[in-house]
Amino acid sequence: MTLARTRPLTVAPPDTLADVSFDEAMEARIEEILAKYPTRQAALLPLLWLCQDRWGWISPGVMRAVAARLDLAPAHVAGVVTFYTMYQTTPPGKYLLQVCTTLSCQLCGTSGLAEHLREKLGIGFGETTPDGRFTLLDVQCLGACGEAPVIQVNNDYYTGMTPEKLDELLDGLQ
Amino acid sequence: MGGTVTITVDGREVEVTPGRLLLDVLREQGIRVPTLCHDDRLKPYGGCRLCVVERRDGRPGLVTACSTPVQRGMIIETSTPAIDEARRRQLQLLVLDHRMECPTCERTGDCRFQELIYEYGIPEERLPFERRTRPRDEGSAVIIRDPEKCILCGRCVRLCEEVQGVAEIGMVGRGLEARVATLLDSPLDCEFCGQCVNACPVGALVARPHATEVPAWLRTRATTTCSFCSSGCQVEVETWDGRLQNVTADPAAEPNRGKLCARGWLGWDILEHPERLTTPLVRREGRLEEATWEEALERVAEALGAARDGGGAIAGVGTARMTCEDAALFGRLLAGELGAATVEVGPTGGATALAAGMGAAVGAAASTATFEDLREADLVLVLRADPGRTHPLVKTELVQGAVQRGRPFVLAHCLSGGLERHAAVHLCLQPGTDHVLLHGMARLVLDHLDRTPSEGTDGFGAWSEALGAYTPDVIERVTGVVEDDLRELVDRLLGAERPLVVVPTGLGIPGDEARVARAAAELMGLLGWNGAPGGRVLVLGEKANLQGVLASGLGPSLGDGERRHLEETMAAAGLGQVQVLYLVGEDPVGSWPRRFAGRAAVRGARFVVVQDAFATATTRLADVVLPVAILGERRGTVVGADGVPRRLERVLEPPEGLPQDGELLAALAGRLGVDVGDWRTAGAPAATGTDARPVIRFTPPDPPEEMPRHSGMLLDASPQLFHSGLVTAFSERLQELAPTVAARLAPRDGREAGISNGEQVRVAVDGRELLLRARYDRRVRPGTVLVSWSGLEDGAAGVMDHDAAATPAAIRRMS
Repeated sequence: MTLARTRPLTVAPPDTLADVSFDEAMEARIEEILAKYPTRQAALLPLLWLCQDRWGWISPGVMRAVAARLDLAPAHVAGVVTFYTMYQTTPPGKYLLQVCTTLSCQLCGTSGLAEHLREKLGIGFGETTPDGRFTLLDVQCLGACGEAPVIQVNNDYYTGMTPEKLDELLDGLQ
Repeated sequence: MGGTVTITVDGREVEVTPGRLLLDVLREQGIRVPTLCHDDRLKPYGGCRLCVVERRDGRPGLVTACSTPVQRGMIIETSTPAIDEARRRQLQLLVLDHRMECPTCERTGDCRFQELIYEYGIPEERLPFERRTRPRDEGSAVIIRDPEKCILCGRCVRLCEEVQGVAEIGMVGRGLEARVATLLDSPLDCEFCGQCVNACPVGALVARPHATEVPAWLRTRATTTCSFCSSGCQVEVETWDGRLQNVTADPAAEPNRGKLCARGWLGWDILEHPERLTTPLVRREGRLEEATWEEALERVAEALGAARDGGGAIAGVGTARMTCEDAALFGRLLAGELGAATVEVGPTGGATALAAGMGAAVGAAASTATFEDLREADLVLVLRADPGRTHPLVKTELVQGAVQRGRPFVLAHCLSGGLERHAAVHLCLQPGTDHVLLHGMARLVLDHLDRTPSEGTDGFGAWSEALGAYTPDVIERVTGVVEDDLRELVDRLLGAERPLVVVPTGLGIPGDEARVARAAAELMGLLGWNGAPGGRVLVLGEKANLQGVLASGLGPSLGDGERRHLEETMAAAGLGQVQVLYLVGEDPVGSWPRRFAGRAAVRGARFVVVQDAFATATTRLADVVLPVAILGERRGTVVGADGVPRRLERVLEPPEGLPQDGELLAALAGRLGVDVGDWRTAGAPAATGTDARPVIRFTPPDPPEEMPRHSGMLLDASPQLFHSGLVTAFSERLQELAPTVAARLAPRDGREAGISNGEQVRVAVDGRELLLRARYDRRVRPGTVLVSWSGLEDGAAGVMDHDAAATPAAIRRMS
């Protein structure tokens, strides 16, 4: 049995995201999003989220396409994307390992986990393994202090982590 | 609402309107409250925390005055040790990440930050922080950005978005990583309005063309009216040793409130252009040669005198850039004293719109709206292309209305220089059909009015009957606006209390200016019969002083509204029937529409005098050329598009002591022995704006003309931002910014014609051709080729002749 239950991200390579257009399926989702908000500007965060879900990250081309779709200025969209840390502005690996480094997790052993990951993967925070499998990020409180230390992989939480559980998790993430 | 509440400020009771911002109230009370991020033209921000004051009631503590609305019973202290300490600490934090190089900084002596540090001091202790190093952005020809001096007040970013509507720059990153940046850190590619540079409270933004080593305290500052367009913006011109150092604007001065545009900010290099004329030229044995003023003026006086005495025809054409005084003198001398049959302003779309259009509807060649009306209007209908480019001030009012106050505007043209993003309704009319839309709207409005003008008066009966033909399906066929959209527009109009129509003008823009202006005035007047205050019309004439020269005696003689008289005069000149053709600032050879046959007229007239600041196609054919002062070298009165007279002050000395137009005319009058009075005071008009409820006369429109079906494309034209005609052609800075004129077309049309994006194409119109680069642009109306217009031969004006209707055009590949 494996601990891992997370599916890999679809990550579009940069050259495919230089000039982006939305297909019919995405347009339908965008219309759903727009219907929920009073202004187009208000739909920016969910639309960016939709794009990140689809392409794994937000390229400048995506920012431009989103800006054009919502009639916003590209520089404004760039400002929003870079304000929120959960939007990725460079292509991540297939698995985005987000290690909580806030107090509760620190007290319960995050630093050991981070050290273990750095050694095992050979990368530091903000870096991606050469095979494009893992990206390591340090993040602030994930809101699961009761089960610290916590690691978020893509959209899933893994709680009460130990180096051993980490090994098992990483082995399962292919 | 209404009424006031009492608050206590520094122990004194003050009556204020609730909801106003504390900062405004305190400043009104004469209390100094320091700010760095605040700007009266922007929404409250509360970023720099320097405006903190102490609140003693409610939840006591420090509050930011700039973002705190006043409430009943508020108790405020504005000068306490806690406030001083907070401000000092805040300055200390800002200084930490600011590269201090005051002695060599561009802004020294004119730096808000420097002043506040001087006033408050900063604590001596050093905080453990290393200043961030960030590269200067020198990628733009105009603006240098220095992020190491930036204090992140955000004024540039907010002005760019809330006022200019461009948002070229944004606040990127957060916390310590926050910085002002363009998308992808690419070089600035914007309207170069200068709003950001002038609002920067530090030296983080510097205008390359105005970079100077002369510190602020040595510069002389004087206010004048910008004369690149008829917005009437007040600009502050800084000089040192007689040379221009900087151009800024005072945020407290109307009508522009500190706003600038590329032309008014950067275009001043025309004063030093190599083709600037500084010596009179006289034709001797066929060759144009330099001459003394004495010789040149004597030759002109002789020619004028001979024509007067011998009964030869004299014709004068003046530019709308002349001051009112100079224009009045021109008319008085040529028509009044010398008997010239023609003394008119040169052909401009604005003259036609004002004289023929507004003249017919409201009895005066004037707008019925001021810029303040534009600000106060609750619905604005923007016709034609493109007020943001001809009159950048108008664009900022439209953007500010929409972005800051939610005031909607309707855009009729497909592509209106960045205004599209902010429009509540965007119609994309078939070019040249604006008046048809207005008639269609008027027809529907008639159904909703309880009270209408009585039959038989003011032409109303015949007018309303003629409108019957403008049914929604006709409107749809002619303009492309479908019935639902038309009805929505009419509903919005009927729901508005203070609607306003903007009528931009410009040679080359398709459509009949006179009919558009008239139809707009009729529609707005009609609304006034329903008890509502009625709407207003803002006609944006070209050049600095169109309304002023029209009011000063250079109004066109109108036949059917088409400037036939001027055409006939020029035709007569072409046949050698004009003895003296006197041109002030006009270039019939290089820049007039073809139907005026400018070249033939200048060649045919027996003696041609040109007063101009630059060598043009016409000066090269003239008999005498008299160089003159321009822009801030002149004094006098100009009347804005809003009918408000404003002063031009001589803030710069002209080279070689060049005279201005009126001085020359007065000197000639002296030589001819006629008295035309003092050139400085010759008939400056009062405001030409008409009353709120002008008398409206209705002119029945012709039956709607349906576009003949044809398979080709229609030529559409829109003005350029950086380059508006004869004068800006001599600004190297603006020419550098102006994009190459392109033929824009809808991608589908391009693909169907086998033309790829970026390819060189021939655009043929009525036997003439333009060689242009094709650009795909999704915003262009399918079936049209959009060419930007600059009033010179390089754009659409070179091929557009009769501007009453859109012109069929053929576009094809070069090979």
